Amino acid sequence: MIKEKSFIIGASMFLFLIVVMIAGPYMPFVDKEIKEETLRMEDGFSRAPFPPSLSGPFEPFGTDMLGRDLFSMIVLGTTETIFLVLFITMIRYVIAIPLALASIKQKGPFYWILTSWNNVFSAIPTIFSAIILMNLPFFIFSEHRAIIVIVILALIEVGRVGYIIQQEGYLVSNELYVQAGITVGNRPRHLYLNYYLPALLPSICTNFFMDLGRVLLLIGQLGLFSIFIEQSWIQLSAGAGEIQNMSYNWASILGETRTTIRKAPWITFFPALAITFTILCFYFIGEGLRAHFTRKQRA
Amino acid sequence: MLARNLLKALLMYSVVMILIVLIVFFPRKLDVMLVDGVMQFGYSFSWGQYYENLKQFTTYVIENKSLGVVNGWLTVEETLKVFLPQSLKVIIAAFFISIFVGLYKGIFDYKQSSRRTNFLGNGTTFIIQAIPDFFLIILMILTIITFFPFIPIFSQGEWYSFIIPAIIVSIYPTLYIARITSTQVSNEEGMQYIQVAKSKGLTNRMVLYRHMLRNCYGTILSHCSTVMLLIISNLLMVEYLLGYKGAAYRLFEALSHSTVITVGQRHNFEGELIIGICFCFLVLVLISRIISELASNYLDPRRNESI
Repeated sequence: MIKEKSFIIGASMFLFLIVVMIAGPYMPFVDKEIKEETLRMEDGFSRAPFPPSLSGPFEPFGTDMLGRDLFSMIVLGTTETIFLVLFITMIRYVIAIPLALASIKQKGPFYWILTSWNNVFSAIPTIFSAIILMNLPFFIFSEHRAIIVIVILALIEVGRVGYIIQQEGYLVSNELYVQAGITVGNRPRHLYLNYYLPALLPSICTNFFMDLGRVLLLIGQLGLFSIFIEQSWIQLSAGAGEIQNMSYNWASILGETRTTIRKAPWITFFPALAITFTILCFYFIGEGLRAHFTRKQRA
Repeated sequence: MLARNLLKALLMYSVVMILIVLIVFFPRKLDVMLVDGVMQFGYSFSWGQYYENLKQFTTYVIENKSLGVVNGWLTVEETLKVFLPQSLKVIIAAFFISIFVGLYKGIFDYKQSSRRTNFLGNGTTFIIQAIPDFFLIILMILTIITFFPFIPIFSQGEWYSFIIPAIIVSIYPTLYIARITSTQVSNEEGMQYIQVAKSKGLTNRMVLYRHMLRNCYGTILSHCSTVMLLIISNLLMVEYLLGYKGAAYRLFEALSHSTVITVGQRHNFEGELIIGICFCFLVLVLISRIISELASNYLDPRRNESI
C-alpha cells in the first residue's frame, strides 16, 4: 500500500476526475446536448459570450463566443481529454520501451537510433516541432488526421522517454545479479523479462504518470495556438470555408484565447484550470510513486 | 573531451537545421476545386516538385547570398533585422532573470528547508513548477489586465516594453533553476569540507556562498541549454498572446496557420523566413549549449581531483 501524501492527494484528484467522467453527463445542471445561443432577450438584448452566473441560467463557468455553456462542455470533454492523453502516452511507451531494451548495452543500431532521436527532438522546443510537423499539408486534410496527429505527438518524445529508460537499464545491466543471470545461462528473452523489466518497472511507472502530464501540457499549448487534434472542414459559402474544432476536449476550447482574453477571460480561464487540475493530479501521483519507490529501495 | 562534445553538438544542430529545411520545402500546393458548388481538396505529393523546391532554394542562396524574399520586397535578412532585436531583448533579459533570480530562490528554498516555513520555499517552487506554463502565462496576463490596468502590456512603443514579456517568460525557467539549485546545495550537505570550514570558524553564510555554492555552479549552469529551450517555447506563447511583434510572433505568422480557406487563396507560407528564424533560434540554443559545456568543464573547482 502506498502511503505517500502526494500520492493520496493525486489519487483522490484522479478519483474525482473518474466520477466526473462517469456521472458528469447525468448531472442535472449539465446539458446533455450543447446548445448554441448567441443572443438573449432579458431586459434588453445581450450577446454571447455571457459571463459566469449562478442564478438564472446556471452557468458557473460562463459561455463561449457561441453562447455554449462552458461548464457542460468541460464536463462532457473530460472523458475525451483523458483518453486522448492516455492513448498518446501509451503509444509513446509501447515504442520507447522495446527500443530502450534493445539498446541497453549502449551499442548497436538501436542505440544509435535512440540517441539521435533524442538529440534531434531535444534541440528545439517540443511545441515547436509539434507545430511544424502538424502543419504539413497532407495531415491537414487527411481522412485519418486524428490518428496521424496522435502518432506524431507520441513519436516526438519517444527519444527522450527511451533514453531515460535506457540509461537506467544500463546501470541495471552492470549490477551483479544481472551478471550472475548471464553466467547462469539465461536466454536474452528471459533476461529481459525477469531481470531488466522488474528492475525498471518502478521508474517506468513514475515516468509514465509524469509523461501523462507532459502530453496534456503539449496538447494544451497546441490548443492555445488553435491547432486542434480533431477538426473538420465546414464549407460556409460557395468558395470559402473554415476548419472547425469538432470536439469538446479542453485544449480545443482554448483555441479562442487570443481574441477573447481581454473581453471574456473566463473562456480561457476555466478550460486552462481544468487542464491544470489534471496535470497537477498526474504530477502528484508521479511524485508520490517516486517517493514510494525510493523509500522502498532504501529499506 | 570538451572539443569533441562541442563538435558533436554543432553537428547535431546542423542535422536539425537540415531537417527543418527538408520539412519546410515539402510541396504544399493544395488543389481546391469547386464541384457543383462543393469545395473539394486534392493534394498530391510529387518527388519532382519537392526536388524543384529544394533546388530553387539552394541556387537562390548561392547566387544572391541571401535566404530569399518575403512578401515580394524585403529580404529575409531585412525582416529579421526588424523582428529579431525585439525578441533578443526579451530572451536575454529573461535568461539573466532566470539564472540570477533562480539561484537566489534556490538558496532561499534551501535555507527554509530545515525550518517550519519550508512550504514557503520548496513548497511554492514544487507547486508552481507543476502548474503548466501556459496557465501561468494566462494568469499573469489576467492579473495585469484586472488589477494593474495601467501597465501597458499590449503596447510596444517604448524602449522598456520588453520588460513585462521578459518577466512573464522567465517565471517557469526561474523555478526550474531554483529547484536544481536547492537540490544541488542540499546534496553537498554533510560533506567533510563543510565541517572543516565550519571548524575554522567561518560563518554559515560564508560557508554557503564561498564553499558550497562554488561546487554547485558547474552543475547548475550546465542546465543553461534547457533554460534556453524553456524560454523560447514560452516566448512563442507570450508573443502570440500579447501580440508582441518579435521573431516568434513573426514565425507563427510565417507558418500561416489559418483556419479559413477560400478558393483561389494565395498561400502565405513563407518558408525562407521560417528557415531564417529557426536558424537564429538554433544559434541561441547552440550558444547556451556551449555555455553549459564550458560551465560543466571549467567551473567545478574539484575538476582536476578525480584524474
